[in-house]
Parts: sequence; C-alpha cells; structure tokens
Amino acid sequence: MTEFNAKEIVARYRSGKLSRRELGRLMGMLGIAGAGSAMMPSMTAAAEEQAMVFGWAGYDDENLWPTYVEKYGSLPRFTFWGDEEEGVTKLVTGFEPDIIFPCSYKIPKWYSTGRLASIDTSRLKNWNDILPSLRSMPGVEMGGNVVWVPVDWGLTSVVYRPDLAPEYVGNHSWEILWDEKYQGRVACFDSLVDCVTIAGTMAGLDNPFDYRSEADMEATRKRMQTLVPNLLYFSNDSTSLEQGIASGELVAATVWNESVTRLKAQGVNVEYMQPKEGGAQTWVCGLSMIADSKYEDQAYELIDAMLEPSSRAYEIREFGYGVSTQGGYDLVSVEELAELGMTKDPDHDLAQGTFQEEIQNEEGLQAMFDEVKAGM
Amino acid sequence: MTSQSLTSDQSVPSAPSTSSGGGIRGFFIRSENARGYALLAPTLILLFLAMVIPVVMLVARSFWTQSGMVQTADFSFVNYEMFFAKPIYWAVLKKSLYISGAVTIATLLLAYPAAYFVAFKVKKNKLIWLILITVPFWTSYLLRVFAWKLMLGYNGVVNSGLIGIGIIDEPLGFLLHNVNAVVLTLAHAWAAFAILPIYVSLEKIDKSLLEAAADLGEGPIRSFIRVTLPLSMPGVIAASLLVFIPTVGDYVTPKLVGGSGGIMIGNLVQNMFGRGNNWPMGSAIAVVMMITITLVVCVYLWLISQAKKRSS
Amino acid sequence: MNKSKFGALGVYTVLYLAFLYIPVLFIPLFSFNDSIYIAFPLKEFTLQHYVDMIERKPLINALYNSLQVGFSVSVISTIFGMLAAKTFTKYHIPGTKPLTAFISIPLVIPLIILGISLLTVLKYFDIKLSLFTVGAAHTVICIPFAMFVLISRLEGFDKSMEEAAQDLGETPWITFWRVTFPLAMPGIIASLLLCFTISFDEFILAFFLGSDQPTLPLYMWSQLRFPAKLPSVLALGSVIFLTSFAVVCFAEWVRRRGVQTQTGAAI
Repeated sequence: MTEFNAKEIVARYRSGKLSRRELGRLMGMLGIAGAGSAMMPSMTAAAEEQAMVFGWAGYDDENLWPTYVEKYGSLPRFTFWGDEEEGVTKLVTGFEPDIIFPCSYKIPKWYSTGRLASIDTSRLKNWNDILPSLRSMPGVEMGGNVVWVPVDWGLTSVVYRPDLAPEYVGNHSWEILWDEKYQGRVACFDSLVDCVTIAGTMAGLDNPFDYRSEADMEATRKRMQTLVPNLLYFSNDSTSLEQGIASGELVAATVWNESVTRLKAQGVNVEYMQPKEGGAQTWVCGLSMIADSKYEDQAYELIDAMLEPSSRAYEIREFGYGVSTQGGYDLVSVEELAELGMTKDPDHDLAQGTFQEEIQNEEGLQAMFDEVKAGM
Repeated sequence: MTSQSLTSDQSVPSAPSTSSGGGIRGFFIRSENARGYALLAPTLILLFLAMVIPVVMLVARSFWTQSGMVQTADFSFVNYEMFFAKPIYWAVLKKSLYISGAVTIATLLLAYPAAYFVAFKVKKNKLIWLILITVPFWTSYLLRVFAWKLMLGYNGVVNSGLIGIGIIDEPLGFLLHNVNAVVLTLAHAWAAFAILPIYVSLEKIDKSLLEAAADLGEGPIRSFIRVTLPLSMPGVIAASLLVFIPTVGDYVTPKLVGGSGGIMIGNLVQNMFGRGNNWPMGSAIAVVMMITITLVVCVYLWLISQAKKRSS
Repeated sequence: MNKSKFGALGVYTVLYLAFLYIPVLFIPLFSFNDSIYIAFPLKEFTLQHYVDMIERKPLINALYNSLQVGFSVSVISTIFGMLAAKTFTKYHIPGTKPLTAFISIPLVIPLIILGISLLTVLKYFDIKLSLFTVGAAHTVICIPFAMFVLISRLEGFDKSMEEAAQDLGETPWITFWRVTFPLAMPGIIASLLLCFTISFDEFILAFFLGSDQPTLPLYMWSQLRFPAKLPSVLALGSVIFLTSFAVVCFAEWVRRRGVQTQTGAAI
C-alpha cells in the first residue's frame, strides 16, 4: 500500500479525478482513525485510578468536592443518568460505579438491588455536622446499617404566573392544575412521585405515597382522569417547563424550587406556591457507596468532601437547594438565604412540606398512570 | 465530485488472470451458494454474536415473572395473557402502528419528488445535494425538537405570524402537543432516511429507458408510472421499511411533543423497565410488538409483489 | 420534459429543503439571544453562549467522543452492510428471506432491551464499558440501515459488467473493487451519511453501554435539568451545523476551481 498522501488526494479531488481507490483509502483512514482513537483512553478523561460517581448531571463541579480535588488534583470520574430509574436499571444490569446519588424516595429500591455498601460513619469527619433531623430520616439506615448520606434537599411545588392567574395570589392550591380556565396551559412532571402523588393528595388520601388499597388507587385514578386532559404535557426536564412558563405558554407548572430562582433571575413574573393542601413536597438526595468498591478510601473521601461546609454553601448559592449540614448554612447570610426563599433554620423550612417517601405499590400506580395517559 | 464522475470510470483493465483451479478455492468459485454465504459470513457472525443472546434473553424473560426487584425464571404465559386481557396494550400498539404508518406515508410522499429532482434534474454536484439534505440532521435531535416548539408553540413563529397578519386573534393551541405534532416532527426527523434510499435507486435508472418511453409517445405521467416508479421501487421499499419499523417503537417524540396523552408502545416498554418494575412484562410487550411489526411488513411486501405480478 | 415541469419540481424541492432547514435555523438564531430560555420575544444580541461553550470542557469532550464514534460506526457498518447487500443482490442463496429478516432485528428490537441485554453480555465476559462498546452497539443497529440502502442501489443492476470482468479473468476481489464498488458509490455515500446521523443522535445504547465518556446526545439529555446550560448547547449545535455547511460549500468551491483550471476536463 502506498503512503497515504492527503495533499495528493486533495489535488486529485480538485481535478475531479479522485479514484475509488483513494476514496476507499480515505474512508478506511477515517474509520481506523475513529475506531483507534475511540479505543484509546481519552486524554481528557480523569485518570483510571479514580472513583466513579454515578448520578445526576451538574455535580461535576470542583467546588462541590473541595477536599477531594485538593488531594487528588482533579475531579473523580462521572457518569450521569438522565433519570434515576435508568440509573437503577443500569446498576441492576451490572454497572460498577463506586458512588451513587439517589434520592430519599428511591433508597428502598436501590437498596433492594443488594449493591449498597454499609457506611462506617466514623470514617466521615463531617458526619456529625449533618442536621440531626436528616441524619435520622428514613432511608439513612436500612437493615441496621447506614447506607445513605443526605447532602441536599429541595421542593416540588407549582410555579405560576400571578399576572396570568391573579386569582391564585394569596390562594395557593394544587387545584390550579385542574382549573378548566387554564386547560392546555398547565403542565406537570412526568413522574409518580412529583405528579401522581399530587392527585393522591387532592383525592384526600391519608398518605399520598401509599397505593396498596384499591379504594385509594381508584380515587386517585379519578383525579388523574380529569388532570390529564387539562394538562398541555408531562415533562421531566426543567428546561421545557421553565421555558413554557417564561414564554407564557404555561400559566402554571410543577417545578423544583431552583427553577423559581432562575425564572426570577431572568425577570419572569412568577410565584412559588405553598399549597394549602399539605404544602409543597420535599425531597432529599444524598450519596451511597457501592459494595466491594475498589476505591473505598476515595469513596469515603468523596462523601466527606461533599459534606464540607464550603461545598454545601456553594450548593446553596449556585443551585438554590437546601443542604444537609449546619456548616453549610453557617457560611451563607440570612439575606442570601431569604433571596432563595430559605431561612437560617433548615428544620423550619423542611417542616413546611410533605416529605416524599417511597411509593407503595409503585407498579400498580405506574400501570394506572399509563392507562390514564392512554385515555382509559 | 458527482456520483457520475465516480461511476464513469468503469473500464475493465485486463489484469493478469488468476487461475481458478481446484481445491477449496475451486469449490468456492464453482459453488455460487458457498460464495454467497462466504460473502455474508462476516456480517452474519457479527450480528449473531451481538443479537442472539439479547433476543434469546428477551424471549425467555417474557415468560418470567417479577415481584418487587426479584425476577423469577419460571415459565408462564401470564404476561401475554395480561397483554391481551388489559385493553391498554393492544390499543396503544394499534395507535403506534397508525402513527408510524402516517409518518411513513407522509415522509415518502414528501421526499419522493425531491429525490426525483436530485436524481434526474440535477446534472452536477449531486453529492452536494445529498449532503445538503443531511446537514440539518447533524444538529442534535433534541435541539430540533426545541426548534419545532418554537415554530408551533403557543407564541411561536406560526401563531405570531397568523396573529400579526390578522387571521386569528388567539394563538392556536392545536399545533403542538398532540398526535399531529408527533407525525410532523417524525416526518421531519426521518426525511433523510426516505430521500437517500429513493435517490440511490432512482439514480441508477438507465436514462435511455425513459427516452425510449418518450419516443413511444408516452406522456410524462404515463412513463413515470410505467417505467420510473416500478424501477425505483427497491428504494421506496427500503425507505418505507427504514422509516416505519423504527418509528413504531419510538418513545422520545411522543414524550416531547405528544402532549399529556402522548404515549406510544415504546413508552410502555420503557416504563416497564423503570417505574413499572416489571421487566418480564416489558419483554412480552416488546415481543408482541416485534411480531406485529414483522407481520405488517410481510403483508406490505406481499402486496407489493402482487402488484408487481399484476403489472407485468 | 418541458421547462415548466422542471420549474415546478425545482420549486417543490426548494420548498422541501426549506421545510428541512427552517426549524433548524432557529438554533443559530437563539444561540445569539441573551436569555437562558429559548422563547420569543428575542432579547439582546450576545456572544456569551459561545464563550461558555468553549469554556465547557465536558461539552467539547462529548462532541469529540460522538465524532469518534460516529465516524467509525458509519464506515464499519457500511462495510458490513455492503457485504450483506452484495450477497443478497448477487447470489440467490437459500434462506435469503430469513437471513434478511435476521439482519433486520436491530431495527425492530426496542433499544432499551438491546442496551440492557448487551450490558449483561459485556458484564459476563468482563468487558469494560467505553466508547468502543458504544460504537460496537451502534454498528449493530446501523448495519440494517446500510444494508437496505445498498440493496436498493445494487438490486437489478446489470450483471454483465461483473461477468465481463470475471470473463477477463479478474479475481472476485478485483471485480468488486473495479466494478461493484464504483457502481455502488452513491449508495455507499448515502449509507455513510445515514449511519453517522443515527450514531450522532442515539443515546439509549450510549447510556447503557458507555461509561464516563458521554456522547453528545447523552450529555445534552442529562443537562436538560439545567436550563442555564442549554444556550451553550445551542451554540455548539450552531457551530456543528454551520461548520458542516461551510465544509460542503468549501469542498464545492475547491472542486469548481479545479474544474476551471483544468478547463473542465474532469466532469
């Protein structure tokens, strides 16, 4: 085979005489170059000897893992899931990360995969900085062992445009999602925990996370059957929901609290509801270790790094989420917190809403959700 | 560089002859079938390695049951019974087939004239046209969906334009977030998959056949129906299969632009592997879907072969 | 055909191209808009999103990963697709129909199921997840596309040319290289374009079979939670779009110049 000569090929191409032989060679080179470079470890990826974090996008920020980055000079490796369910599925199938980033209502499901390690809290220097209410919340301990370390929390509620729906000012209610006046102008998360449970609340369930009784399921189904035609769409991405609100396509939508901060910063006239029926929903997310990790020491260092006060304070300011440690709150001023809709007393803020728990009879609820969407 | 310039150099130089002697080599050269299989072998082996285990797992799992996160590998028809007992699955599968059918017909009808134009009316630089048709699809699908929302959304381009020229007072709500939007978005997204196969089969048609038809006094429409269309059928068939089959199982588009009731069979499969916690049921839905698609495709190909027989 | 017909078809094709392009042109438009939300009315002009794009290393890495996978997948699956298409159009081997159906399975199987099953297989053989495993999976789903496009090109071709070559004593390989390959060229190009497009947009297999090197669509999906990051993705989309466009135009310009300087000898 003669030497591959780019110049010659260009010249031939210009003359229109590029033969199939050269074109074939060019294709071959492209293929080999592509495949070859794909097989080689990317130079930009973090070194192989680092732990891998499997979780939500956006946490690949050096400020969130300060002590770890200081010690190792770079971030750990990251793999993101688009949706926590996909994450569980990938883990069940055999993916081997070192740390995962689950949320409270999914801990039992993650735990049932049998892959969560028990965490020795004495190896976490910042463990005692975690707020006692969060340190003892359900999900932290499973089967008598600590398997999950809470790091941040936020709210799920309805954001609405007071200019478009003035009658809801001072009259916050989930009912706006069912309001026929706004048919086709409201949206909800495409989620059981962040949307269908709201229908459960409105159906008057004692516990909107428990669907083991047929009566509760049917009452919620009735509520869903009137919700679905009233909604413009279900969506799982904050981007679509916020854009809908910003453009006026949507009058109201369920969002996480950070969206409200962003919408306000963009000059959109919005208000976040504290619905009179049970208040907003609260979720807590945190870190878990995978059993038999090759990088156990690093995993502990990572969890500890994320619990550092500077990391927690950074997350309050940059993400607008609540955090799990006292040290984090100590670094943020009352005024900054007020701007984000929070106070210096996280327990008070947390008590405003309903804690999202594991959904009982998730399968049944999902089947009902699909059926109602399909118009049945 | 046109495709013609690439194909024009068809002279066959007389390279030294190689003997087609005996032995295994001779066997290969003599036996057409063996040569065919040998040529197919690499592709077949690769796909066999990649697909056999997934397909076997899929079928096997569809007979299992799951409770919680635990799957039990016993043999039962319970998932298939459920598929036909509950109205949702069949209804959603039927809806998905209709949507894909509509998408396929729309995509083909829209693409054929454009492919025809490039194949017959463009004399030079056909490659450039092909790439021009494909370039819009190298911007991510996700961004294109956002772009469609801008076009059709509540205060998007179409609504603003119509309000601006005074045709409507209120934005039209029915442009987006419904079945029509799914069909439109898919017809856009799969355009290249229809144009390219149709183009490659039109392009190979011997122009002298068309001239002969014209010489025989056939009008352009008659000669199109009698000569061009039948000769381009391989491309039309390829295009329709490449658009129809994958869109039946699509679950992204209905989610993004299908509205609150936007659910297709792919979403049901997806959900079973997630919040539905029922992989076996998801597998059973997938198996029924795959069999149904295969049957639809077989009927379609049979109809075409019947039409071919009748016309010849 | 008379002139007016040519005109009508030409006008239609231009309109059709407009249908393909107009939605896409909003991507560059909003990449210069000073707002994190893609919504009308437009705000001020800004280049900030492009600055953000260049500074966002993970985004650029994701693009690089996707290009690597896309190029390799398009070439490799076209080769495999070509072998299959050649077999089915040249030899009428027994079992053609079931074999075609078998090669089409990746078209029908839901990708989440394929992803989960392939991950199980890789796990069983202890193969590490990487861009390579993503590329392999993309190759598998692209082969049927390549095969169908190439079958539609090769079907019904005059066999006399190949036979002539073989009568002249050419080996099958030389015959393929000198006769079949050039005849198939438009199909090969179409196949390369389609396979690249598929790989460049696929994210379910990329999620299940990839590790810490996300491809572009996967990265973009995971970033949807953060609207502030979408504009730099728009900027990247615009750069990809405009670069491809510019490359096509440049190639055309180079070719034309070549043709002129050689007094039109080549075409």
